[in-house]
Amino acid sequence: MKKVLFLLIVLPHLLFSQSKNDNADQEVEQTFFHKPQFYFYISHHINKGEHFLADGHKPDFFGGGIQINFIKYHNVKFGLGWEYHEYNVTDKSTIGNINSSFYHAAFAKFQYQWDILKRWSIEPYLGLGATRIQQRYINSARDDFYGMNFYAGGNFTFKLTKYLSVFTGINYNNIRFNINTNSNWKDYFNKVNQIQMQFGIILTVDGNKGL
Amino acid sequence: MKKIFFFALGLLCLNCTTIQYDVSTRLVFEGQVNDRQGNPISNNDIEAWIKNASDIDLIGFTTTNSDGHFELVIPSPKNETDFEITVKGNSIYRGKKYINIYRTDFQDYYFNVGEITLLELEDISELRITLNQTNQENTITDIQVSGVLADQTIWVNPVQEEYPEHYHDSYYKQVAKNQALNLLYEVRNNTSGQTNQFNEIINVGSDDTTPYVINY
Repeated sequence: MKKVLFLLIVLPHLLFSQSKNDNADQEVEQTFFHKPQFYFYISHHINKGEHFLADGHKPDFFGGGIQINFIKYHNVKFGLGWEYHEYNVTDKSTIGNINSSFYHAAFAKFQYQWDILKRWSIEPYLGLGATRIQQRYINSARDDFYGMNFYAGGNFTFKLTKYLSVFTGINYNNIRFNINTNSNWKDYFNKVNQIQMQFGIILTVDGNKGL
Repeated sequence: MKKIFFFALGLLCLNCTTIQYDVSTRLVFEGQVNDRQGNPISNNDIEAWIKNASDIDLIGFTTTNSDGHFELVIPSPKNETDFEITVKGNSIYRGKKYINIYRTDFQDYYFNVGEITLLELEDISELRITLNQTNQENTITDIQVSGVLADQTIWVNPVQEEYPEHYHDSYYKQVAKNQALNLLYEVRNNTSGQTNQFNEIINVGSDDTTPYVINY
């Protein structure tokens, strides 16, 4: 564990030391960045309400995701990401004799980086994405269905070093699926509201401003 | 090489017969399970089965709620169109199967099985009709019994018999006790070709068997 922590802290320095900018004035004036920022995180899903994920499933305690921010203009960042979470079916009367469902989402997010202290930042964001629910039924065969999702949330980040930060985040996720079913069951399958929580690290190639 | 070829062919065939599902389409079954007096039967197991020529899947199951009501939602099979709903029996009630439910029976992805009456095992009598041929030129061509029946298989879409049914010696039916059944049968005279219909009432008592005789 110590080795992993050591690598996480030292590796970004070794990797990105070439991109270090010694001219502090130039750093302040620069408004457009194209060097990426990588988010690696574990996530926790909280589903509430009358929909198939809340009523018929139980999510694994942790899922995971990545996000790459590759455009930054002033303090507004744009990034793309992917996340994954596994669910176990708990109500076979509404879901069918299916063992597991797998949540995949690809998304794009606009984030605003608000540096409240030298090392602390808040990043509110809005995002859009596409969700795929893959279901594994009898004989391990699989099939899937798709939806569109909208994110609104924020991260709370702490800059550990010039290149490494840790963050925790929370967001609301609204998903609209397109399941063909009886009109009484459409909302159950097609309208999902969930809260997602994340905890992870951020590797900033260009270096954290001010450190 | 031959072995590999046949192994691959076998795998391919296995894949062909496995039932595949379209999880983006969900079909809904609904029904109400009561006893003979109309009281709801709660916590009764309900199963949905899908089958093709060589495979059968239990694709969904539930139990009735305290009102005897159930709703069961399943993913739609991609190719199969033949569904079966099994209302399981237990040590008190005799179960039922609703078979030959076709995809075309669904309206707005919904099929209502309706009211399902389960009879208590102790409330079932076996109707034994003896077919006593008194005229050698006569043949029974049809027998229908209506009333409270204890059939275990309900054909939602009856299959057309390829050959006409023949009635000889006896006819058996599981029915509820303590009722008056309506018996309808047809007798054809093979010489004249004339067919006559007869309608009779059978009173079923509380015995486990109910004998009856048709003289034709």
